[in-house]
Amino acid sequence: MSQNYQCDICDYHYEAAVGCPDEGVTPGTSWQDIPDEWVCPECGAPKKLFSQIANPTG
Amino acid sequence: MMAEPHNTIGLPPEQLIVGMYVTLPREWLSHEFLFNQFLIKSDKQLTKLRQSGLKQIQIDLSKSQLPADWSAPTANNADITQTPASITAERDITDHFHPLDPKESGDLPDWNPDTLIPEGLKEALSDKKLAPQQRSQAVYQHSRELMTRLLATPTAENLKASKQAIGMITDLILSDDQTASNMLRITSHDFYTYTHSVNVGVTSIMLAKALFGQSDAHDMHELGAGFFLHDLGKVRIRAEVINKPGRLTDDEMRHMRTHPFKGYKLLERSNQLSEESRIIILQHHERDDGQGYPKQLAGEQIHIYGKVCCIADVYDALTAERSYKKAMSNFDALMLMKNQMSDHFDKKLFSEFVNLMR
Repeated sequence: MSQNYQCDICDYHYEAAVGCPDEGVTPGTSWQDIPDEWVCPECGAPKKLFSQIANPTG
Repeated sequence: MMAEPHNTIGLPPEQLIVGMYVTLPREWLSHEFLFNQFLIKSDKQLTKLRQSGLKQIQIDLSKSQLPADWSAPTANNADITQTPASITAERDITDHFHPLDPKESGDLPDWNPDTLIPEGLKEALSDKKLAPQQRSQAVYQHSRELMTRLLATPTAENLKASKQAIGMITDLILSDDQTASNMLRITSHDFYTYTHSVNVGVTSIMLAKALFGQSDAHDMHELGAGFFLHDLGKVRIRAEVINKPGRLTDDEMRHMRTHPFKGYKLLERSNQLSEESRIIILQHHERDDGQGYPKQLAGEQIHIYGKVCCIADVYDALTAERSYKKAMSNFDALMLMKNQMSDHFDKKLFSEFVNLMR
C-alpha cells in the first residue's frame, strides 16, 4: 500500500519520500513515525483526520 | 448517413449546437431573445439557452444548418435526466455534486469587475416599474448568469464585484416580499452549481429574514454573499469528480468533501467577506448531530449562519433533479427532512423554515 496520506479537510498531501521539512518531518519519514501531535501544515487538522489514499487528488 | 429526420425534434439545452434553428415557448417571459424562433449563430446564444431553465428546446431541422456528420441523438442519450431512481434520504445527497458547468468553458470570456454583473440584472433591480413577477423572473435569470460568470472566473476582484450585486439582490429580497416569494416559486431544478447557488442564496436570505427580522445585529449583505457563495470551493474540486454522473468512490468523496474548507480558504486568501460570513462556506455541511463535515461540529458549535445555509442546501438538493433521481415536490422534501433527517438540523430553525416554505 502506498505511503500517500491526504488531509480530509483541505486535501494536503503527505508523501513519505518528500516528508514535510518545514514542519520538521524529514524526507523518508513513514506516516507511522510522524508524532501524534503533528498537525496538517495547511489547515491544522490532527493526524487522525488524514486518510490513506491510492492516488492523490486535488 | 442520416436517416430522414422529422422536421422538429426536442433536445435538452446541453445538446444544442450552433446552426440549429430553435423555437422557444411564447410564455417564456424571461428569455432574453428578441424572437421566439431563430438560428443559433454563436456560443453566447448557446450559453443563454443553456441557462434558460428550459428542459427541452424544439429544433426545426428543416431550417437548421447542421454539419453533415450531425445526427439526431438516440432516445438513449437525448435525455440524460430521466433515469428513474428511488428517492431516499441518503446521507450524501448534498455531497453529490452539481456540475459546475458541463459545457466546455474554453470559449467563455474571462470576466472582470467591469463585465461581471449582467446589465439585465442592474436593469431589473433598478426598474421601479417592473411588476413583481417580471422582476423576480429577470432577477433570478440574471443572478444565475452572474454566478456562472463568477464560478468561471473566481478572482478576488470578481468576488468583490459580485458582493455588491448580491447586496442589491439581498436588499430586494428583504424589502419586497412579493418579488422574493415569486423567486422562490420559479426556481429551476436543474443540477448546475450556478442554479443551486442562487436557489440556496435566495432561500437562505428568506430564512435569515424570518429569523432576524429587522435586527441590525446582522450584516445582511455579508450574509447574502456568504449564502450565494457557499459552494465556491467547488471550483477547486477536480472536474471529473464534480461532473461524474454516477456514485463517487471513497477517494472521490473524500476529495469532494474538502470543498467547504477550500472555499473558505479562497475567500480568506483573497480577503473577501467577513470572517463571520466565511463561516457559512466552511460550515454549511456540518450537522446538528455532529455527523457532518469537515469538522464534525455539533449543536451550538455550529454558527447559526451555517445552520441556516445547511437547511436551504439540503432542501435545494432534494427538490433538484439529478442524473440519478427526479426532483421531489416541495412538500415531499419537507416531509423527508422532518421525518428522516431531523437530526441534521437545528429544530427551531427547521420549524421556521417549514413555516416559510409551506
